[in-house]
Amino acid sequence: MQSAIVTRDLTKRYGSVIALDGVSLTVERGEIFGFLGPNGAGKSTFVKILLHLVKPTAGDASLFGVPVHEPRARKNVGYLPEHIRIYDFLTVAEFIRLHVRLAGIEHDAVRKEAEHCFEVLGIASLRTRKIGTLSKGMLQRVGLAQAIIGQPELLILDEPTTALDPIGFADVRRLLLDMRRCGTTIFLNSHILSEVERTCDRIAILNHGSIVAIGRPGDIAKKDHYLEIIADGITDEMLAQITSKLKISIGRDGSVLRAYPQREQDAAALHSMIAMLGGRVRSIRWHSETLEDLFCRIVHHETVDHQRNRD
Amino acid sequence: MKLWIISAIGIKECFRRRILYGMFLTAGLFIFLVRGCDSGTVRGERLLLDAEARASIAVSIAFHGIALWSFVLCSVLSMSVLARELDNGTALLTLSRPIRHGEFVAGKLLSAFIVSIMHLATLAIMLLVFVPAPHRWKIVLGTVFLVPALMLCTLMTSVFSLITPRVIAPLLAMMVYGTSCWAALPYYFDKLRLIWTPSPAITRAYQFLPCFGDLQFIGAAVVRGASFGEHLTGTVLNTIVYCVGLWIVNVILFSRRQRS
Repeated sequence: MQSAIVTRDLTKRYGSVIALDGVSLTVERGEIFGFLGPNGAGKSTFVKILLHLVKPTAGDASLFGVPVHEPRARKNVGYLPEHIRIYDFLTVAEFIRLHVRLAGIEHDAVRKEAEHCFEVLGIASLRTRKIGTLSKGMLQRVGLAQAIIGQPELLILDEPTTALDPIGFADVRRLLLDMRRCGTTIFLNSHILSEVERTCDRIAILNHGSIVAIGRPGDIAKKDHYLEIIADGITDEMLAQITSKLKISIGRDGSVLRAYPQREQDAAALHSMIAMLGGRVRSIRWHSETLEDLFCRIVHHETVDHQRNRD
Repeated sequence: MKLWIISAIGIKECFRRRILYGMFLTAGLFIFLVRGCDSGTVRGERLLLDAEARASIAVSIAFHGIALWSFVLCSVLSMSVLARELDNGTALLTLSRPIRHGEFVAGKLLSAFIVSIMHLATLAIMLLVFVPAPHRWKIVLGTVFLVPALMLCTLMTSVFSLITPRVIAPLLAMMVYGTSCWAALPYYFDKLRLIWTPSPAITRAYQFLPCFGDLQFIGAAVVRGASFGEHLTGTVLNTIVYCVGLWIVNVILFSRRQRS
């Protein structure tokens, strides 16, 4: 069975600016995939290439095995852009019916499908309202309603919860999980890291147009599982001895040591060795980075490297 | 099918433009005023125009009037259909559906074209009702020749709107229309040729310009019941070539701007 999204060496340049730099990514069917990155990292460009709204400079992309330049690739795809712009003279019902028809749904089923979308997103009361009179949150719900038309096989959401209140937030999470249960693949561009951590099966972090980390949120964070030791009387010689004997990489910031042992047992060995060499351990604890810590660290680190390379 | 869905939304959008009603009412008022004018007696230096000749001249003037009015409206509507979609970003969501750029462009341009045709048809019907003419069906037949000219106008204005600021596009289109009419004049008015023989440069320009002038003068000839000369085949070919060419340019420019 074909993967939902496959891209190979996807590159996009705007003049001298590189928006995407050889991005290769595979999103399997039925997973919720989180796509993270700071502003200007190239996330929206990537999404637009998937929908053939932007042409890549190099590389190729396919949805369910169909190259993105073919209209049939978008046949079962729902999309919610980051800044939703709709014909403001239409009513909500007219807008939804327009997209039901554009999605290729049979003429007889148009009304039924539109009603289903109203119900799922709780916007039935907005049917007769003009789009131009809606608040940002309502507009976001209407946008989501058009994205789920026809139970798409792939749902691409660019910042879907930006304008929503906490209830809307929870509704969207519930909706995404329900859709995943029905087999929909969800590609989620978001800045709300806690939300991504709770909802996504896998994530990728994009920075300066390249993927800098990819995997399950727990696994990525686990890579940066370290031991934080606060100790007095530690000299550089002592650190060198511990490092060479236990083969543990240790960083130091004053009295705070950051050790990256390979095994859980190394914590006890480290503690006894510090004591043996004359140091006094005040506290020792395992520390795992949250996705937010990881995101900030990776993005910051990459940005510094990028700047250095440019200089 | 999707082309008609996009076109229906475009038509709705066109009907929201106040200029449409303003221009329609102005044209309607002028046509209505014609009814109240007493034709009187027109005496030239050497000739006396009879009632039929006077009616024929009045209908011709009205025909050219509604043609000009329709071109102005058509270019004003066409300047926004694609350029506004790009400026406002409303095309994004529609194009994320399984639709080709060509279909989208066709649907949007069709909407401006259809509204222009509706405007032209309404004015022609008013002309039929208010202006007494010996052969009323000729007005209908003459108006048919303006339909391809409006299509050309839609396509050309849209191209201009994609490469220049939107407001300049109708002005450029009207310049081409005016030049085409001016260049075509000596080929349809024998007496004019006696005092002005077009130079080879004008003849070449006439051959390569879009045939707005020819279509309008052929229509006017049909309305007057006169012969429309030997230019029909060339005009049809020129119009087809221009329509196809401008359509392709529209799709290419729209796609490039959309995807850039």
